Amino acid sequence: MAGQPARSSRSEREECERLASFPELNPNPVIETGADGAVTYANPATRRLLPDLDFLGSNHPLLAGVPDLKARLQYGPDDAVIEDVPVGDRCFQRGVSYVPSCDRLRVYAVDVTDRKRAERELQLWGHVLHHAAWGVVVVDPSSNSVLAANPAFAAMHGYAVDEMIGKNLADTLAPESRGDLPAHARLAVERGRHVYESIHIRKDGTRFPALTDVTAHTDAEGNVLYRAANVQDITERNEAEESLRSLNARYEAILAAVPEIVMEVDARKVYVWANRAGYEFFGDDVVGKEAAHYFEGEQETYATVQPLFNGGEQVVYVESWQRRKDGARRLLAWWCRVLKDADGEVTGALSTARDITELKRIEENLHKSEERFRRALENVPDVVVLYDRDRRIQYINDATRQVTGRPTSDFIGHRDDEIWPPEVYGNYLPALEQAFATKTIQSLEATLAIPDSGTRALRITCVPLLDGDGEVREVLGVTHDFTERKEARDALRRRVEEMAVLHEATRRFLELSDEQAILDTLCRFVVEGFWLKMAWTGLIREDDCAVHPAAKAGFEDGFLASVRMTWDETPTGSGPSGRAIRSGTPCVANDLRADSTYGPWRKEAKRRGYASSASVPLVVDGDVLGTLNAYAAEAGRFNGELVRVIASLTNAAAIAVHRARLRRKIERDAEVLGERVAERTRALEETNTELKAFAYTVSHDLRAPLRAMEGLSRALLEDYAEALGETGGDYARRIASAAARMDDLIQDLLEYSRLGRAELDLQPVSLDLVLEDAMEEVAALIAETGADVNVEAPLGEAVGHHATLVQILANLISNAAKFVEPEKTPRVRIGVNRGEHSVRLWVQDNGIGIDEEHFRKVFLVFERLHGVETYQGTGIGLAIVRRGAERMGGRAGVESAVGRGSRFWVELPKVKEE
Amino acid sequence: MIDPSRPVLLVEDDSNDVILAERAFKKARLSNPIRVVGDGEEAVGYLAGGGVYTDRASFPLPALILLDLKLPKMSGHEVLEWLRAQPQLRRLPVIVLTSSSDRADINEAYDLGANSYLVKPVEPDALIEMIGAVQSYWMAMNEPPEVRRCES
Repeated sequence: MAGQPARSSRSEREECERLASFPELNPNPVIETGADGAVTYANPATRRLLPDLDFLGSNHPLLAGVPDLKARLQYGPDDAVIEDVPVGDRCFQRGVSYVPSCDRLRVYAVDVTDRKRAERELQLWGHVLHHAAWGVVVVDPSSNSVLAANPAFAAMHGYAVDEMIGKNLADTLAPESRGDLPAHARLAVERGRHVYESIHIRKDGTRFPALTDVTAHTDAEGNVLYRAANVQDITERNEAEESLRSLNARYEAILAAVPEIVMEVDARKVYVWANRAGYEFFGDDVVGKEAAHYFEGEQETYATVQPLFNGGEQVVYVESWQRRKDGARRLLAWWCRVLKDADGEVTGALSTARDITELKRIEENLHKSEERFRRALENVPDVVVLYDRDRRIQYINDATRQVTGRPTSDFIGHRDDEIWPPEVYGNYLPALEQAFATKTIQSLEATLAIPDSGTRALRITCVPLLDGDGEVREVLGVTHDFTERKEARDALRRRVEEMAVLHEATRRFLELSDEQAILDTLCRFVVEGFWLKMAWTGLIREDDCAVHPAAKAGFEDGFLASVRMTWDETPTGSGPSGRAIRSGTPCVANDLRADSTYGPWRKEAKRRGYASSASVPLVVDGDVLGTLNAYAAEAGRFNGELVRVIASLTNAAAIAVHRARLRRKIERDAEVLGERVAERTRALEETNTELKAFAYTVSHDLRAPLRAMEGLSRALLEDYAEALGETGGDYARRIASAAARMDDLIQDLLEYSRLGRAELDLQPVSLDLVLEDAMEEVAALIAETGADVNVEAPLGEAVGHHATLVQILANLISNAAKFVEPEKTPRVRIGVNRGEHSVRLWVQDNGIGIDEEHFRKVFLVFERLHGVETYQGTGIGLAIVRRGAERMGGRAGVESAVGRGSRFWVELPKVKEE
Repeated sequence: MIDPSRPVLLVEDDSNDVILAERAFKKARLSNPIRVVGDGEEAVGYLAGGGVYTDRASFPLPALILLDLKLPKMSGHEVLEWLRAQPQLRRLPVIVLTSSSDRADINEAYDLGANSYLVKPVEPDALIEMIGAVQSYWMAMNEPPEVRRCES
């Protein structure tokens, strides 16, 4: 409009007026101000919308800053300046233009308050949707293509927002969910809003469940403009729901598995839930039925459980008869627990029930059988009482009254220690306690002195009776009187035990070799075996008449030191022991208080509680060694039977003592003998040493003068032959040869004695080597005699001593060579015969032979059968042979006949083959 | 070869044996002089050069000792033991000449350092033969040890 040429014609004027009426009609304020801002025109809308303009004039907020705009509009490029101007709580869009022709400013204002607010809200919602955690998507209804989507929607599908735009919504769905999309869209249009779950698919192909809340937006004609949907990934919610479901399933499974019936009722006592056991009991249609529907007979069940529903109790127990689905009447035991909601209001109750019909029946039967049991007890001859947990008697049977002769009131409600003296109840109360403590049956036998009933032999049995929890409810005490039977049995048992004691003691006596131990054992066996108070043994000696205590057992308490007993005819010898020793038979004093012979010891015996006594002599072969004395606490204890057994025992002990003494004597003798042997040995050793010294002396001192005699006489013969003459020479020769013979004799004797002493080390030796050495020794003789020696080689081996064998063989060969008639050539044969265990080495000659009567003699020292003149030799050679053979564990001998030669032999042990 | 001027010391208590020995020495033509002592103590005295034997000119150290074992006062074994303990005399050759053929005597003699052990034969000819053997072996063939003369 600005800059339009003005028209000045009439029609122009009319036109102007017509145009000028436009601002009048404008619904928005139109104002004209002067350059100073003073209002020069305002249309009617201004006055309607801005009533205070007249009053405020150029100060009206709508006109704020308008005059300042004149310069900008007058010289600037813009035709108008459009701004938002706040007026009070409203906002106007103000346009200002300048009309240079009249130097006026024109102001147009539009109230944009509502539009602005809508714009802000839209912006806010856009912001919210943009940043929302859930997906928001706007879809074109005809093509299903995405018009808009927030980042969350894109992200949950794995796309960028830009990728999302224009995409078909069906592409965000898993194939199985795509088919449902038209139906969901239709429902959204029909209902305006529709919520559904579907499976979506991501760009990478993975799937997720999503909850979609879709609204359809339509125009006034009902044309669908677009559909907007909130989409939520419900993977986690599904998982949580799944785990909750599985938890419930588990509880259901557990409840189904328990054998107890589990039922839930609501506040009206209508069953709303049942486990398997519940369905099985009440039937499949139980849920929905009221609890009372199943009651059998008159019930106080409701009254009992009512406090539960009033909130007064948490748990209630009730037993109630109920009808099972098969019509049977069963007793159920219920435990009911109240159920409350979050506000504490009672919503119902959860109850578990167990069928206790059988249990009840058993219990009732038990009561019945207990009744029968008690009736039976009434007729039992044994004393029967029943103790409660306080050990008080709550029942006694008829026998109790009859046996004790006391009324029922003496027992019922009392403990035993209130009824009986300690020496009675002390015997069996421990057993009663044991029965309570161990829940096991206790039994004991005791001999009790019951007041007014005398001494009775009783067997008391305590039987614990257990309640349902396995605790001892009461103990049944049964007392059986077997006094009469016991007496007979005791006698038998005593006999058996006595025999056992006798047997055992006799066996022990045989093992013992010590007199004291035997006597100790005797006393101990008598006391312990026969339940006696004391026993001792006294021995007698040759030098006095006293009975000397040697052993004791039992309660002696200085008794033996305080009394003196003898076996002479004095008062101290007139008691049982003195008489027993004198007579050699057992003597008894069966009542020491009354026995007149027991005067000297009565006081001491009484002090120690000895009431009777028996003395049995220890006798062996009619000799009394002493006496065994036994004491009993009861008078009359030593009857014939017991005394006989003790006598048997004492006899066995006496024999054992006798044996021990004999053995001791033998041992002493052996000791003396041993000492003598040792003495002899010492003497022998001394003699041996002396003999050795003697042999040395003989060998040296005795031979020295002989050697001188021989040596000097030969020197005489050599140096002074002429002066001596023939006879003188002969004498000198005789002196020399006598000395030489004596020297030989001495040497042989020494050899013989040496053989007797030497310890020979025996081992396998080669007889061939022995022969070799022996031949060397006799070589001179062989040469001299011209003997013909023949050996049956090889000679083999034997056990012996080489040097000794050489000597033996040399002796035998030289004998064989020597003892031959002067004209004969000696023929010597040497050989061996082998026996099973021995080897016989023999030397055969063709000599003079030996008469059989001399066979033994030739081996003795100094035995010569021939004169010195005829045959040489000392007569010791064969003795050496024999002794040597014997020293080697063999022997020597000869086979011969006069004139037919001899065969001398030595026999030696054979070498054992490994 | 032994110095023929040095004597042979015969320790022998039996006068008969001394006579027979001296006869044998003569018959065997032993050139060395013979000194005879009658017991063990005298033998030790002679060898030590003490008492009456101080003069070594009259009683020179022997070249060989013939020692009997069975001696009065001090036995042959004891003389031998003493001799072998003397630093200046211990090399002197000693021949035991005794009538004992006892094993114990023989062994002990050798243990104490005897150079030879001879048992006296009974036959006078055998003794002469034995002395002859001693003379040819110990005097002629055997190389004697050096024995320091102890003149004081």
